[in-house]
Amino acid sequence: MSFKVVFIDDNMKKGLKEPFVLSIKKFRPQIDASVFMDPAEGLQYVLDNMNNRMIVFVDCRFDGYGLQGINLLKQIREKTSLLYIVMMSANNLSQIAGIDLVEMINQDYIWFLDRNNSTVQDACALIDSIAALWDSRFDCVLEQWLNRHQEDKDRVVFNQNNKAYTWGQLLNEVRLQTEVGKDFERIMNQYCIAKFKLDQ
Amino acid sequence: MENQGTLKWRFDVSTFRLIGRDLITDRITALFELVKNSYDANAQTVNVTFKNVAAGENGAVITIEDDGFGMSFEDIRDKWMVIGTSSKRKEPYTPEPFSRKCVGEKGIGRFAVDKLGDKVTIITKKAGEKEWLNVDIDWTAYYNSQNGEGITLFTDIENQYKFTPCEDSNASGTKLIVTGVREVWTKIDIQRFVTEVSKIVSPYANLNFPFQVKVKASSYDIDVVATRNQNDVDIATVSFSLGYDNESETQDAVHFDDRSSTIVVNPVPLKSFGGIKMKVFYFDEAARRKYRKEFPNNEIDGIKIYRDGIITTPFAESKTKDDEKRDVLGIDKRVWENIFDRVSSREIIGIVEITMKDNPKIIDATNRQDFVDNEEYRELKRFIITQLDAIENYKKFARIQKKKKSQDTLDATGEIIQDFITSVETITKEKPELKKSFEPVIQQAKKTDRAVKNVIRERKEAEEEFSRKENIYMSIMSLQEYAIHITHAVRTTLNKIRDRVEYFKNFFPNPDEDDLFLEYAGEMYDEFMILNRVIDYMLSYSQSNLHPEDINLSLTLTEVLAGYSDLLQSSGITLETSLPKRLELKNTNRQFFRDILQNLMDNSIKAVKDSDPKIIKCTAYAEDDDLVILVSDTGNGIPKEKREWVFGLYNTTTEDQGGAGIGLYVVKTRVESLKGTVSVEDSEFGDVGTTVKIVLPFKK
Repeated sequence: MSFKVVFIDDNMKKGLKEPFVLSIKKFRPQIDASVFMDPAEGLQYVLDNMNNRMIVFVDCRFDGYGLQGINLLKQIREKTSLLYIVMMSANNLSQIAGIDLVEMINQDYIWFLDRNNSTVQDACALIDSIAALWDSRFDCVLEQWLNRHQEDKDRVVFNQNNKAYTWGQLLNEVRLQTEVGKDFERIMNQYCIAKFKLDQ
Repeated sequence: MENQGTLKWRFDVSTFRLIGRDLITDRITALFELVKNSYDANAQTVNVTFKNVAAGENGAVITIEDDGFGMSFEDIRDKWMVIGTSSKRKEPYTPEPFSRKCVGEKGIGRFAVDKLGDKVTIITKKAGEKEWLNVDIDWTAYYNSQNGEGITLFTDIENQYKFTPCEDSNASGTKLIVTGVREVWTKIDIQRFVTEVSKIVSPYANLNFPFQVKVKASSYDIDVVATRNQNDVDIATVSFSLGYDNESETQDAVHFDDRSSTIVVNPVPLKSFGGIKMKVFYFDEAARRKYRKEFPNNEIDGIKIYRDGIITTPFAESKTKDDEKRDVLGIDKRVWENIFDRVSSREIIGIVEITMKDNPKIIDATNRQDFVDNEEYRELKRFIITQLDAIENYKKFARIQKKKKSQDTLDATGEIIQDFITSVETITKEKPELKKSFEPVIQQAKKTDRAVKNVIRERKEAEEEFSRKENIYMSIMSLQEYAIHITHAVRTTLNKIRDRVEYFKNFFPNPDEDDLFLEYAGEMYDEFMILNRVIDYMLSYSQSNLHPEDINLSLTLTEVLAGYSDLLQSSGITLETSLPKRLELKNTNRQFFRDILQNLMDNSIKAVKDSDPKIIKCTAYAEDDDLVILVSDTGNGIPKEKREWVFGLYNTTTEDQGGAGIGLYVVKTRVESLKGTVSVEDSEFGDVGTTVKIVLPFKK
């Protein structure tokens, strides 16, 4: 299945002429790649295309720009956790500012690609492992399903402690890992297994 | 509650690895984290004991025992074993009456034990409880689980606990017994730990409930109290102490007063980072000798920052060699600017006290090695460095005084000998019969006189030589800054070339992509040319013409501009200049000024290519204590949002005309190495063009 891979890096070539991107595209023809040198433009593109499956490669450092890699990460995460973000950096984890690192850990999935020592194959392997996770995370599956079934978003489907929850609210509860969210996720998983067994 | 059972962790493998192994950078840091946990638990005494940790010994055990408030079963289950528990953040202070500011804010210190050994037994109790809780944790089980197939959840690993009776129900505290210690602890390792712990609590913090850490290592006969008190640093040559006042919004700052020859404190407006307390002690050579004798385990090691009485940075610098220690505040970096007068961190002990309340914008970095780099932290660093100027001026004053004193002594000796010779000659004139007897004395005195005069002359020559070398050192850019600039430049270019070579390796040949391969080949060639320019720039630092000299700036600039006269004429560009007739600069670099002006001229010529009129204007003038140079043109200008960006390496607005983004980068680094600033300003021609402004401080 095709998905978008967005590269935001001020040292890359515009369009699809960047050899790093072009090589990835050749090894993984199913991806729809885009390159942005200006972090603000890249961010806007990502936010405008949030309903797609997308992996975003973000350079940590932009010389002479106000927006830095971590700002992009935060702004994207405020909107969705469907997107997978790969931070590209020559720095290691311990050089990243404390609150930023805590925020990354507390947020959802984040990867690192060391641009000085990684090959195109390493980047492809990273894309593969991210894509493999895509179909299995409960909240991602739910969000994708809701994107396809907008009409169900506001339908009440779950009651707990005398409070009714719509699909949309449940997605939020699952993301926040509240008691309601965890309960719902567990029930759904158990239900699926039970149904699978019955179907067999 | 069952009297025994099992407990589970509540987080996953990757988080555990991240926290346990990556964030805690070394063993000393790990142990230090545990001592900080004891501090947070209101402990007053911590005993850190190393047993059988030397090479060749078996059964190594590290014990950390404190008399803090201890933990209940629920504390262990719901806080200690849950990652990122926010209990410390919700309650930022330890319980009354200690009310210490918690220092293990991020709640990860407990994972430090994994860094120390494979197994840990926690024995803990709160006051009033009748039994000690014992929990055994075996880290190898976690790693084995991680390496096995299938299950990787930490929640499936069980940790044994049990309760054991106690004799004194009022007792409280926590004891961690670490076994399965993976690495040998040498005497130097333990001494380094002692050194780090000695800095943990500021000796100047007003501690009503003192905190003492004792370290014992029987293998090396170490049995010391690691924490130190204020008397330890009372042998300084000069010192100053600064405070602040939130009501009047003032911060103390210091300068060296030439007239009174003393360091004077003056209030200035509060800075963006909030009020700080600061004490600095300077040790001259004699004082340093005395300090080393009295505190062989402690070094004079620069300025430390304490938050709410606890050291924050530089944190647990466990490098043995001074050269490998990081220079968080940039103090030693400056020594290269002026090796003779700058103070180095080996000459001062300083304490900067900040608080969470008054300095919320100074934020700890998670790796505990620095603060988060923001504008407030940068201003704090600048402020601290500026205060050192007072000590540097004192140092200069003391050096001049010492020189003057020894010169005066030499001159006086010369005069005494001359007086003596004159007196003897007068006597022998009056009584010629004595001449024969006095002759050998006169000859000897004359010989001594000549020797003294020789010494005075040689000394003068030596001083001239010293002054020459001083000028050379002062002119060299900070080596560390230089290395950072160069590695960044080379690495970026090499990465670009590597990506293209890799493309060739993977996909060549392909007739459909001949054009692309040709394009990449051309780009690689261009990148190599850029690399050459960068290397030329590196080499320029080894050129002999970089030695400092006195220059007539007007003449130097005029010479550079004269080199462009043909090109300007053929391109129809008008050059306007406004340079003072004579502007002498002492001990500076002629080549730097040439590089700056040439790069700015090259840029302006490119910029005015399609403009009408085509004017380039070069102005230089003195303003207060600064030299200001303006280079303006009527070209296509630089958008406001790119005014800072254009000084970055490889950032260019003239790519179409062959701009590689190196020129303004060279200008910036050259200006910075002359201790100045460069910026793009609103054009002095109004709506069109660009003005680049350079401000250079005149050296006093």
